[in-house]
Amino acid sequence: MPDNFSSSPADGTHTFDDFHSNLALTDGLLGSLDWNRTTIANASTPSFIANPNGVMRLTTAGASADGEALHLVVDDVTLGGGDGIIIRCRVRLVTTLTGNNFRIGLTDSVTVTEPVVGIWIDSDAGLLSFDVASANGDVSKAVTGVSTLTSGTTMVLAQWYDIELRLSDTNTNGGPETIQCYVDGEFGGEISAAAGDPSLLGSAETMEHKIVHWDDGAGAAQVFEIDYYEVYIPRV
Amino acid sequence: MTSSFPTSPVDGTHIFDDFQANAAVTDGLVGNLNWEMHTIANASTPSWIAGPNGIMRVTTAATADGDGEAFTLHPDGLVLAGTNQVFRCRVRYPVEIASNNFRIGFSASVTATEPTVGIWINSDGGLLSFDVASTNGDKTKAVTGVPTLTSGTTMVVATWHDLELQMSGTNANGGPSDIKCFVDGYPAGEITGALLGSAETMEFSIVHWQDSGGADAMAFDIDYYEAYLPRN
Repeated sequence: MPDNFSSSPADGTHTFDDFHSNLALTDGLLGSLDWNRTTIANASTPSFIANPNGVMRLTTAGASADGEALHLVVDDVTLGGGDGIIIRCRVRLVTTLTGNNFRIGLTDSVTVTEPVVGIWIDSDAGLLSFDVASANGDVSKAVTGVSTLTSGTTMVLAQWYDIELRLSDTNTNGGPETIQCYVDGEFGGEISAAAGDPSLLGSAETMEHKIVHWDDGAGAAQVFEIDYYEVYIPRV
Repeated sequence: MTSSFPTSPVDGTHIFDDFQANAAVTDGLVGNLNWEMHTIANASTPSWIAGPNGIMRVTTAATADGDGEAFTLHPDGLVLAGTNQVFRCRVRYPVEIASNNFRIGFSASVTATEPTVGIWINSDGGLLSFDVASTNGDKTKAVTGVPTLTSGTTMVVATWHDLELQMSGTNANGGPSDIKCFVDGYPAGEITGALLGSAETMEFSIVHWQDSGGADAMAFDIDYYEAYLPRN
């Protein structure tokens, strides 16, 4: 896993939030990156949790289908091909798994509706998958075989997970072709031509940085925590 | 070109904006660094252009000759002492180049008037130069001999250019003495014997304006702004 990226924008764009920031919860001022907020039904409550490394908690309002989308660079992120694009985060589901869902990565949706364009990590009540969606076609892959997940597939309540997508190669639409997923450093699956289903994302399809969390359970307030969000896009 | 800098403030101050930010265009909230905005005559419109690496577009108001916008940080709080500072940016004129002007770097001016203190890269309708201004005296140098520029001197419309200034040495007033300019990685000229003093104050600045003689919406794109100031 590449742990370090170039420190200069001359080499690539390194976007990250470690959630060590002031306590503003306002739309356009959340976290170190000043995330925009879009409410899904009823607004969630962001808060910051004591920790050496900065943790943001999102707590849903208490009804099914409530949630919050945090986003940056609206409709202005595109991905060309080549190697070296990384999307990663560290997350946990704090109080319940059932009905506690998230999508994290680059997408064009600020609702619970699945994005029509994007590359993201998906949790359906802790059951992990990763997806690429495009006007050219969608591919979804379940995470499997990770020793730190229940049955190799599902997050354990209250446990932190490091989740990473590594993008490489170039497809016929100019976007990334191969997407490998790692959970806690272990290989969790691959979307690729070699695996029979390459990513079809086009180089002109627009997305944005995104953290979407929502509740589709019995209506209890769902609690989700994110330790960091990080994306590196080399300048090619 | 040294691409990467130390990541710790123990070693120096690394300021950069890659313009991968929320969509705010409010004074004090523009870009990742929350740039302040200063209108020159009639306000320009900042916007965000789709791309992998973040681009801010600044378009003049199309109201009158001289319209533009200055983006600044740390007003009157920046001084340069000693040596080995680096400033660089990646810029483009997407549509038209004549009368489309910028100054980017460190300066004490938020207008189209030439700064009285500062170190910056200057574009006069795409014709590039670099300057150092000080109460002790000014120096300017035209960019020459760059194969990616028209006639070695002038930006090409709709083409990205990487611009860089590397400072070295220490002059008798405590500031940097020599300034080398690079364009797209090519040596483009050098100022020696700069007179900037170590107590002369500036700010991080991006200034864009048009002087077409009338109303004109002129666009300018900036991909990143970066400065490294070692702890000397």
